[in-house]
Amino acid sequence: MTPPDHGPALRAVPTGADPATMSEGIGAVALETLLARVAQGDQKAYATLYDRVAGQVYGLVRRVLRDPAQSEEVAQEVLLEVWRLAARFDAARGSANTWIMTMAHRRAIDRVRSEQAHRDRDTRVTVRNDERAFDSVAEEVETRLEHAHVRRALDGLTDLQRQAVELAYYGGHTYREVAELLNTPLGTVKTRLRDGLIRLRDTMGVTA
Amino acid sequence: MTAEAHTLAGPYAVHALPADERAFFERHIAVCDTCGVEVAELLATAAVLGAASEEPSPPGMRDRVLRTVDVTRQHPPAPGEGSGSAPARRWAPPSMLAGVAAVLVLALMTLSGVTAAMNQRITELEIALADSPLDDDRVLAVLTAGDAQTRPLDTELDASVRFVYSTALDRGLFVASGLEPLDADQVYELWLYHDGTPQPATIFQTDSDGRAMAVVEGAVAGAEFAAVTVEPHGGSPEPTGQVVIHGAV
Repeated sequence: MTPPDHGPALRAVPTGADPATMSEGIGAVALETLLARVAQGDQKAYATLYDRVAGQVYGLVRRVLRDPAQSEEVAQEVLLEVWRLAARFDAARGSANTWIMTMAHRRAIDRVRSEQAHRDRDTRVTVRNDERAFDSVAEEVETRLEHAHVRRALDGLTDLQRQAVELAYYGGHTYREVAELLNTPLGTVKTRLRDGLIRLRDTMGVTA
Repeated sequence: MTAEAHTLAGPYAVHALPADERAFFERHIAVCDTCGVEVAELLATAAVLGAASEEPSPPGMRDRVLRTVDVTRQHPPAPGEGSGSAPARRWAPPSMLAGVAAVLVLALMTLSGVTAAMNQRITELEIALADSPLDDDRVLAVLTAGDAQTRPLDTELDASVRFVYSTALDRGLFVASGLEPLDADQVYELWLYHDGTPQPATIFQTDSDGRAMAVVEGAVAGAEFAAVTVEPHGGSPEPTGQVVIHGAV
């Protein structure tokens, strides 16, 4: 049975998968399938999806923001957004997990930037702060990164690639800030972020 | 230009671009398949980095989110193929704002238990928010701020007026329903008083049903009093018109 064409964003439930019978063996259900059911307003599917992704969403947001209370707020926003926007998920653009984690990261970064804008609208990062920022990010990464394959992949990068990726992704810095923190030209940082991620992609065998 | 754009895929995938370059690159990937594919792969790679930070989520969060979901309207599927050229976010379509109200519900439940009075207030806010074109992110940030406070304001009009603000964000959200729509040559102006002196906060107009919502940036922290006057088009540096809304914040 070919799914009828309802437009690109409405992802059809895979052929043969009757939503009504799919609550059994939930562990095996793809996140994409759950999301398709969530898009139809299925709260039970949402609860299952929540249990699968909430730890990842919260963990990432907390990694970036540090503060548990703020992290909880932002994680809630993200998880609610998953519910609201489920019908907008487009599998052609990537996996459900990527979609959710991208939103989580974006929201965390938005929070970092809006707080920064208020705190120090016109201050530049001082040298002392630089070191502290980098050390604390590096330390966090060291102590909290549990997934060994990610650790190994990061270890496979050059120092500059790894520092740039960690400061930008986990530290929530713009690439300009990263350049300043690492005392490295802007263009180099842009390039290292890109080739660092490409290397991670290849090491970890990530596909879109 | 293309070579320049290509290098932005890395910073883009980890949200490390400032807004202008982000917008530039998004226009680029809308027309460059190579970059589009690369971005999708790098976003997936970043997501793996993110997932590696997994940790148990706070215990109360699940119940709150599930309860909120129960009262939250979902968005319809994206209209048509053109999602690559997203409309300007600043003027969010009404459906986005339905979510804002839901987030407010969530924020209020986070702060304290849900009471009947609070439900009433939420309903009023939901009504007021339903059709208002506003920047979703800034509104969300106020509503979900840990220190968000909601103050009802007094008015002799048959109107419901609230001022929600966060001192930490130094940002406020003014929400009203039941105001009288003004003539085109007049505006409502909101004043925040610091040490007894009114400072212009924002000007706004209502929709045809008398509903209004406005975001106030800055000079919110430390304000002791709020008032709304009717002023000539463009607003005034000091209040000149009749005070129609007032109250302590």
